[in-house]
Order: sequence, then structure tokens, then C-alpha cells
Amino acid sequence: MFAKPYRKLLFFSLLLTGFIVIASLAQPFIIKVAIDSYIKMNDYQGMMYLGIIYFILIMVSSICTYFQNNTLQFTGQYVIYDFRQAVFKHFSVMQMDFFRKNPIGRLVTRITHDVEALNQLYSQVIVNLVKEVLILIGIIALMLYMSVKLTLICFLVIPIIAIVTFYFKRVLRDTQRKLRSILSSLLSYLAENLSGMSVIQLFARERKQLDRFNELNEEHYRAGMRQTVINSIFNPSIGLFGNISLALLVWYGGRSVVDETITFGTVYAFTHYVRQFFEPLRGLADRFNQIQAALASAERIFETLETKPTIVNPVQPKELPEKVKGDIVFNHVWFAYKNEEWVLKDVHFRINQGETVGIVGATGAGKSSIIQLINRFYDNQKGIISLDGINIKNVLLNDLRRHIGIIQQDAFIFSGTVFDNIRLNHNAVSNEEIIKAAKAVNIDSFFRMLPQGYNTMLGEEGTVLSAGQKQLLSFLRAMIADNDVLILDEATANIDTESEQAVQAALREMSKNRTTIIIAHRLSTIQQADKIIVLDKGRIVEMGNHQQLLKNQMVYYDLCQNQNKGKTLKI
Amino acid sequence: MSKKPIFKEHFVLHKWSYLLGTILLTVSLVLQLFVPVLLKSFTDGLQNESIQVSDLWELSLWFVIVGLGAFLFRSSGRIYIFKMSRILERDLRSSLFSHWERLQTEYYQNQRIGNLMAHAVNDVNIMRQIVMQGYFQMVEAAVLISISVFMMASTIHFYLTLLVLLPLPGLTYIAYRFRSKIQTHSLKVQEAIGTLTSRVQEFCSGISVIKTYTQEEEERKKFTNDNQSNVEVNKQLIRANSLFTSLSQGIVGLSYLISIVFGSILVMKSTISLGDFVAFNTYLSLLIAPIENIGKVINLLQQGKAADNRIREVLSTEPTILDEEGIVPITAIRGNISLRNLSFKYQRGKESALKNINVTIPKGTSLAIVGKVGSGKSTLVNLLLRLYNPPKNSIFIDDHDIRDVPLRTLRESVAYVPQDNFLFSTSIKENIAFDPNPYQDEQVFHAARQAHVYQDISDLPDKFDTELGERGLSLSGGQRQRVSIARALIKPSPIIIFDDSLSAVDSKTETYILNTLRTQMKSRTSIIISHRISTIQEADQIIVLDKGEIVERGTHQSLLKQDGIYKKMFTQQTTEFTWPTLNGRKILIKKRRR
Ligand SMILES: Nc1ncnc2c1ncn2[C@@H]1O[C@H](COP(=O)(O)OP(=O)(O)OP(=O)(O)O)[C@@H](O)[C@H]1O
Ligand SMILES: Nc1ncnc2c1ncn2[C@@H]1O[C@H](COP(=O)(O)OP(=O)(O)OP(=O)(O)O)[C@@H](O)[C@H]1O
Ligand SMILES: [Mg+2]
Ligand SMILES: [Mg+2]
Repeated sequence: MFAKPYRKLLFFSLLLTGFIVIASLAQPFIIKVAIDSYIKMNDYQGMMYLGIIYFILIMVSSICTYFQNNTLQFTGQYVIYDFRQAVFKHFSVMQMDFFRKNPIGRLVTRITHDVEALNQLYSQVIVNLVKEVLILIGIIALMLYMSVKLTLICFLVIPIIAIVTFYFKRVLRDTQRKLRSILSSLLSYLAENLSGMSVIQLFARERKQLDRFNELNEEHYRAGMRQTVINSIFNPSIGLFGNISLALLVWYGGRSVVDETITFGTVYAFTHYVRQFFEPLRGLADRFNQIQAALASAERIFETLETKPTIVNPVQPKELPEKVKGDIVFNHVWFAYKNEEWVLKDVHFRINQGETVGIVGATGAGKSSIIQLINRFYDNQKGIISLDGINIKNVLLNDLRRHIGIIQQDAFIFSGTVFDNIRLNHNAVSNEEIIKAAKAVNIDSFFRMLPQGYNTMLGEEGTVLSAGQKQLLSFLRAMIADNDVLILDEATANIDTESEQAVQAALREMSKNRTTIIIAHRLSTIQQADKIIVLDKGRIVEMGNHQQLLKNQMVYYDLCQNQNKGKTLKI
Repeated sequence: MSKKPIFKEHFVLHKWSYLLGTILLTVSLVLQLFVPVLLKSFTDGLQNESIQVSDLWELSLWFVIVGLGAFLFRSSGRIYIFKMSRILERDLRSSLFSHWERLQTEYYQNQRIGNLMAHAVNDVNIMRQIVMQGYFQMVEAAVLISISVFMMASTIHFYLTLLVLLPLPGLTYIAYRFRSKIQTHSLKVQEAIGTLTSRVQEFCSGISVIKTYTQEEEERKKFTNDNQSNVEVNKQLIRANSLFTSLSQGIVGLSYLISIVFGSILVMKSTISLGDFVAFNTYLSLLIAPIENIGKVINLLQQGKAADNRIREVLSTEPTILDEEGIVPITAIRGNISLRNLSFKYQRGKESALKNINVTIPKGTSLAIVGKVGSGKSTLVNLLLRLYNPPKNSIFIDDHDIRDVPLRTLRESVAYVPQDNFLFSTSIKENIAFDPNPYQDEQVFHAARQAHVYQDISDLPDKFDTELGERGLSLSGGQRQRVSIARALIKPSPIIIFDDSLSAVDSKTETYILNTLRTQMKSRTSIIISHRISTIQEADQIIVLDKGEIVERGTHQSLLKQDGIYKKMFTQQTTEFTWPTLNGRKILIKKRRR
């Protein structure tokens, strides 16, 4: 499927291969000519001409080799390229859940390592395979033509080879699969440990983590050895069969010559053919392992490509207006990450255009889950969520997300400059606007002090920010993105009071005429909200504004009281 | 890079195994060379009609014996040599991992995880192939070539052999010329893979931001770029490779040319017989494959060298945080901490992150740190944990300079809740019992109760055996934080550090945790960082950091009297909350004073 666009290239290189094969076959022929026509005649001049012709042949063949190699391997690279594009593209449309379930290391290997193994299939296996199979067919035809009986005798071993191959194929495939899957767990483990290295070091747990790594490593080694042993038995066994075939030939052919049922010439020719026959067969056996490896990879890649994203664009999407009003309705929504373990139970509320809504509740109550439903990181199982009266499942994902800005609990920094990190893909935003926003939340002076100011690289390999600085940066992202709906999930948890005041002021400005949802444990941040939703174990237990909820003297009241007293801790 | 080439070291270490493998392989090759000899005696015998039926049996038997011998020796030789390659692979990965474990945080800040992974996957793979394909084929080629050459020279014509071998030094020359070219291209290819890996790695880590801000298209573009340049550098390497291959083939062809032209002249001059001429060319044709293989091997070796260098670069990075000379071999810490004129500047930083810090925290007391974002709070505790090296004579633990305290002892003595709650993708139980000492289930439960996360965990279907996703992302933010707290509380250590560790929990839970902590803290030295005064107001000492300096210090009461930053923080945090009474009259809730 992926080789299709490159049929021409493959064909071209096959053509070149054909030429190279002919050139290499020409050598015995030239020797024959030399012997028959020149040496016997003592024709020095003719010999010289032959030499020149041979020289040209060498040159042309050498040049052909260059181009053949190039085309072939370039094709391999193009195929790899396409595969990588396809896999990455596939990843980019997969839903959140996919990334939560698959360790990063595994996804990374899928794109780098597995694809690389496929390369061999295209760049080496296919062409050689064709070559070898052609040679085999030619030899078989010749042998059959000369003596059917002798051919059959010599090929007595073929059924055994077939059985052996069949057996090894199964075993090899299994080991290849195992090898791949262990490698991918090994790498996932590695990736995770590298990311969390400081935690490992701080808990002085290097030893134990290394032990586990070595366990996996050892497992990988053993699987690799298993593969090696199998291969090392399988490959040379073809040579053994070749020799057995020769023995059969010697025994039967020799007797036939003595009996004078077969001519000496035929048997002599057969000794050559049998050897020539087993040569490419051995090559095939070598190829065999590569093919198995490539197939194991291909299997995994196609498996990946075939896992359909569960959160997809609707077939007949409705279009959201350029600017949405921001009416959000949760209509008896039920949601579970897994099976029927309901995280949100019958959540029912309405947020009107331009309202500011707070969501409070104990940790694990399901606040972040509500947010993840609004921009369809996950899909709810029951009930309907709508934006401006349109079921969000009926609009394009990007169309929906474009209107919703979320500041998450943990901020992720990309490797790129400060500007890049704040601007993301809003290319129309000028540097001045970013600086203005940064001033508004009191972080401008910090960015200016960085080695290259706003052009300092952040992220991996870049300058390290403190936790609060990261949060401010992700707040800036939302300010710049200027979405119609703004959602803050614990966006100020790691920010000091003074910066928070600045953030609150900015937020007040932003939330004017904009639907805003704020999740916070610090109730002070949401007491001004038009509506507060109190969540407990996935259910809405209370809803109303600050005053109303206090009057209720229920859960929210408790929370407030708690926040304002009971801090009699002696630290 | 002072270390010896990895492959060389490995080779020397396992020289006997290599020798054995080489011998086994050689024997099998030599045995296989008997096949033409046997065949010759068969065809000659048939031609002369001197062969008997009984001889045929024997001859057949010989074929089978030789075949079996060649098979056994080749199999075992191959297994032996390939085993070495697998050992090399395994040992390299293991030493990379254990070396990475010794490297400091600073190292990781200058590296991309994807790149490091590429070392462990691709570079190590190339190293393995050096042995698997390189060494194996080299032995094969060397044996076949030397036997053929020997046969040619000794049985046919010495000078002709020399003449034929004449172009071959050209091969060496070409190999030499291409050496650096292939090496540079290989390096670029290996780096490109690293970049690609990093790109995917970053994409997966940042997926939620990417999705939120619909960055997929952008990321695809970036990936396409990387993917394209990967193809580009690969093509360069391929071009260099192909040129090398075709040139070396041309040179081998020249040898043929010489053998044919001069060989026939010699025949014409009757120096050698026609039969010799044919035999000579047969031997020469035996050489094609091995000589071509040598070209490939040389190629591979260059790629291997690039990989070798890359790996050695990692392995020769010296850890900077380690037990230095003159450490005091203490195994326990009581918990007196004192910072004297501590100033610290990050390698990357333009300005000092901490300036002239002086604090003493006697055993069993508590220090609270407040301050603006980026004021150096985490930096201070990072230094206490020696994630970075503080200057000498600036941090003292039990009157020992922290740099003289064994790293292990230090870190075993501190229970630490970091600001970002990195969890591992193992079960919750294993995450809580992360401290390498053995813990009973009961202790895990106890720690979970103390961190007030027991109920949450018990509500999960698999309870404490629930497997977490990477980074623990299948838990809610507050749950993650509390598991991280439990992970610290399970350690019976004399020092405990909370870095903004109650930021993601609601106030009820916070109160609960603080209450249970109270008993714990009596006997421990504790350091608590927070932005909320409610969390820290009863600490024995409070310091306020601003731009790396202590600007205020005292207790809650004394700080309130100072009317500075702390006071301001306090008023902001308390007055921001309005509390209407039931009859609608608004009153201001003040903190309960003692
Ligand atoms: N990816 C996930 N897979 C499975 N369960 C999950 C996942 N994410 C969250 N949960 C579970 O769903 C419940 C609600 O989590 P959620 O993140 O919505 O809580 P929250 O109210 O935001 O809490 P917090 O205040 O701690 O952030 C928790 O019990 C949590 O363990
Ligand atoms: N590894 C590093 N290299 C260079 N600079 C750093 C590094 N780590 C932190 N910094 C900088 O040092 C300063 C202090 O950072 P630190 O993490 O100590 O702040 P903090 O007080 O903990 O802030 P927060 O309240 O946001 O957690 C910040 O300006 C930060 O950008
Ligand atoms: Mg949350
Ligand atoms: Mg910090």
C-alpha cells in the first residue's frame, strides 16, 4: 500500500538490477570467449579489444550500482517518510484517552524504531527477493529440462525444507513479536525514568530502578538470544540441506552414470546447478529473518493505524458562528473514564452567555472531568452537552476547541522562545500585545531579565521556569488566544498573592461579556461568580451564588467555614 | 572524551569468546571449502570411469558429514559471535541507564529526553550490528579471501596473484577517503533520529495543551519538517555509501580485468596452463562476495564510530553531584540545618537565584518560606537536597558542610514533597512505598491515611493495586498531590520538606492533612513552602523571600507587626473574603487571633 507511489522508482531499480545481474553473468561468458576465440588463436589484439569491452562493462556496471543503490534506498527513505507522516498524523487525531493509555516511550518507538525496520523490507528485501526468486525459477527450469528424474531426486529435500521453514516461520514471528514488545516496554520505562530522574535520585532509589531496568534488559537479551539461536540454526541448515542434496545427486547420479542411464555431462551440470540453487536459497533464508522483523513491525504499525479515534468529527458538521455567545448546557450528563465507574453522575446545569461560573468541590469530585468534556477530550456516555444550543458532538473538533480556552492544572512548556510559547499558533498576535499581557500579570520584568529576553528558549534544553512562572505563562496563552469561552482549572494554585491579584484583575477584564468557568480550591477566587456549582463525588449538590449558597448552610457553607478557621495547626 | 572506544573495550574484555567464535566459524568455512574438492574427485572419477558404486556410498556419506560439520560449526560460531553482540547491547543499555542515574538535574535540563532515548535505541542498535554483521562478515571475508589468495598464489601463479591484488590497496585508499565523510553523515543521521524522537516525545507530553489550542496542524508541520530533514540527511549518507560501494566494485572489477587480460597473455605465452587460468578465475569469483562485504563492513564501522562517539559522550559526562573527597562517613542525621551566607546562581541564570541567605533551623523546629513567584523558594530546598551543588561552607547539616555529607545519607534523611507531583506508572502502592526500604501494606495504608488519600484510593476498583498511567495522570490533580505526600510521609526521616504541597487540595483536606502532620512534625525538622498564610502561620520561623533575598523574617505575630510584605499578604488573603451573615449584613471575616 505504501510502496504504490514509488512503483516507478522500484521498477527503475529493478531494471538496473537486471543490468547488474547480466553484467556479473557476463564475466564467465567473457572468459569463455577469451578462451575459445583468442587464447587458442594467440590473438593479442583481440584480447585487448575484449579487455576494453570488459573495462567498459565494469565501468557501466559500477555506475549502475551507484544509481541502483541510490534509487532503491531513496525509495526506502520515501516509504519511511510516508509511514512516519501517516503514523504521526494518526497520533494527532487520536483522542486524549489514547495518550493516557499508551506510554510515551511506546508511541515514540512506533514512529522511530518500528518504521525503521520496515525500511529494510523496501530497500533491501523486495529487490533481492525478486532477483533471487528469478534465479531460482531459471535454475529449476533448466534442471527439469535436462533430467526430470535427477531433479526430483535432488529436490527430495525440498519438502523437508518447506516443513522446517514453516516451523521456523512461526517460531521466528513469535520471537520477533516478543522482542518488539519487550523493547517497547524497555523504552517506555526508560523514558519515564529519564523524565522523573530527580524524584528517583531524591528518594535514593537508583538501585531499585536500575534493577528493574536490568530485569527488562535481561528479558530483552533473552528474547534476542532466542531469536539469534533460532536463526543460527535455521540459516546454516539450508546449507546442510544443500549438501544432502549433493549427496543424493552423487549417490543416485553416480549410479545412473555407471548404469549408463544418464550421461556424465548431465550429472556434471547438475553438480553446478544444485550448488547454484542453494546459494540464493540461503540468501532467502537470510532475508527471511528481515522479513519477519519487518512484518512484526508492520503489524504493529498497521495495528496502530487501524485503531480508530473514538472522538471524531461528525459526518455532517454544524458550523459554529465566528463568535459564539457561550451558552453552555449540560443536560443530565453521565460520564465514566472506564466502564461504568461513573465520575460524573447526572450533571445538569446551564451557563448563560457571559456568565462567570465557579465550580467547587473536594479533590477528585470531577471538576476537571467536566472541563474535559466541554472541549471533548473525552465524550460523555449519557446526556447532551451543548454550546449555543448546538450539541458539541455535531461540530468539528477544531471548530469547537478554537472557541474554548482552557488553562490547565499543570502547565506544559514547549521548547521554543517565550514568544512562541505564549503565541502558539495565533500568528496574528504582535509581540507588543504579548508584552502588554505579560505586564498585566506582573511577569514582564521577569521575562525581560532572561538572557535573551522574550526570545530566550524555554522547555527541554531551555531555561527553567519556576512552577508559578509556568502557570503565569499558561495564563498568558489564554489571554492571547482570546477565546469566546474561558476556563481556568486551578490556574492560580501556585501563584503568590500579589501576582494573583494581578491575575484576578486581568481575569475580571477578560470575563466581561465572556462565559468564564473557574475551578478553584481557594473560594476567594470564585465568590464573585454569578453562579457556583458545588460538586461532590460526581454529583451536583448545590448551585447558586455565594450569598444564596451560604444561606443554604450546606456543603458550600461548610467549605467556607473550613477555609476560614480550623487553622490552629502548630507547624 | 577520555574513554577508550566502547567496542574495543568490549572486544578486549571478551577476547576469548571472540576467539572461540572466530575459530568455530573458520572451521565451518574451511569445511565448506571441501565441497568443491569432493565434487572434483566425484566428477573426475566419473570421467575416468574409475569410480565404483561402493565408492559412491562413501562419497555421499562424506558430503553429508562435511555438510553436517559445516552446519554445526557455523551454527555454533554464529550463536557465539551473535551472543557477543547481544551482550554488548545489553551491557551498553545497562551502563547508559546506570550512568544516567548518576547525572545531575542540570544535565537533564540541557538535554532532550527524546535525544537520550535515541542513544539508548539507535546508537546501541548500531553498536550491536557492528558485531552482528560487521565482525561476523569480516571474519568470513578474511578467511575466504586469505584461503583463496593462498590457493591462487601457491597452486597457480604467484606473480599473477600479486598483479591481480594490485588494485586492492586502492580499496583501502577509498575506504580511508570516505571514512570521515561517512562518519559525519552517519552522525547527522543519528542526530536527526534524535530530533525526530524528541519531537514525538514532546508532542505526546504536551498533548493536552496541543489539543486545547488546536495546535495539531502546527505540530504536524514541525514534524514534517523534521521528517523531511531526516530523509535529506539519510539521502546524503546513502549517496556517500553508494559512491563508496560502486567505486569499490569498480576496483574489484579492475582486478578481474587484470586477471583476464594478463592471465590470457600468460596462457598464450604458455606460462600457465588453460586449466590453471580457469581455476584462477574460479577462485577470483569466490572473492566477489567477501570483498563486497568488506566494503559494507567498512561502512558499518564508520557508522559505528559515530554511534560509539555519541554513546561515549554520554558515558564520559562526569556527574557533578557526588560524594567528594573528604566526606564524613555519617549514616544518620539529627536534623539541625543552618544556612550561612548562602548565595547561589544557576549555570544558565543571569542573576543569582539566592543571595546571602542566613537561617538556622534547629532540630525539631519548623521553617516556613513564603515569597513571590520565582523568588527562589524551590531553589533553596533544591540546594538542601543537593539537586544542585551549593557553594562550600554555606549549608550545614548537624554542623557538617552539606557537601561533606554522603549523598545517600542526606537524601535518605529527607522526606520531600516536590512542587510537581511526578508519579510513576506503577501501582499506587508502589508509588507510596517508593522509598527503597521495605514497607508493609499497613504502613502504606497509614501513610495514605495521613495524606488523606486513603478514602479516594479505596473508592477505586483496584484500590491500592490500581495501576497509574504515565505521570499518574489517571488521578485527579489533588489525588496526585496527596499520593506524593503519602510517598514522603512513609519515610521516617528527621527532615521533612513540603514545596507548595497543598496547592491542589481543598481547604477541608488541607486542614485535615495539617492536623495529622502536627504530630509528625514535633520530632522532625520541617520546611514548608506555601503561598497561603493559613498553611504556614504557626511555623517557628517564617522567612519572606524576594528576588532571592530574605526581606523579612520572624514568626507570624512578629511579622504582622512589621507591616511589610507579609502583613500585606495577610490582609489581602483575609480581607478578600466577604461573609454575609444570614440576615444579609456583610461582615469581614478576620483570622482567628490567639
Ligand atoms: N484519565 C483518567 N482515567 C481514569 N480515571 C480518572 C482519569 N482522570 C481522572 N480520573 C478519576 O476521576 C475522578 C475525578 O477526577 P477529576 O480530575 O475530575 O477531579 P477534580 O475534581 O478535578 O479533582 P482535583 O481538585 O483534585 O483536580 C477522580 O476520582 C479520578 O481518579
Ligand atoms: N535550573 C535553573 N536554571 C536557571 N534558572 C532557574 C532554574 N531553576 C529555576 N530558575 C530560576 O530561578 C528563579 C527561582 O526559581 P524557583 O523555582 O526557586 O522559584 P520559586 O520561588 O520556587 O517560585 P514558585 O513559587 O513559582 O515555585 C526563577 O526566576 C527561575 O526562573
Ligand atoms: Mg482537577
Ligand atoms: Mg517553586
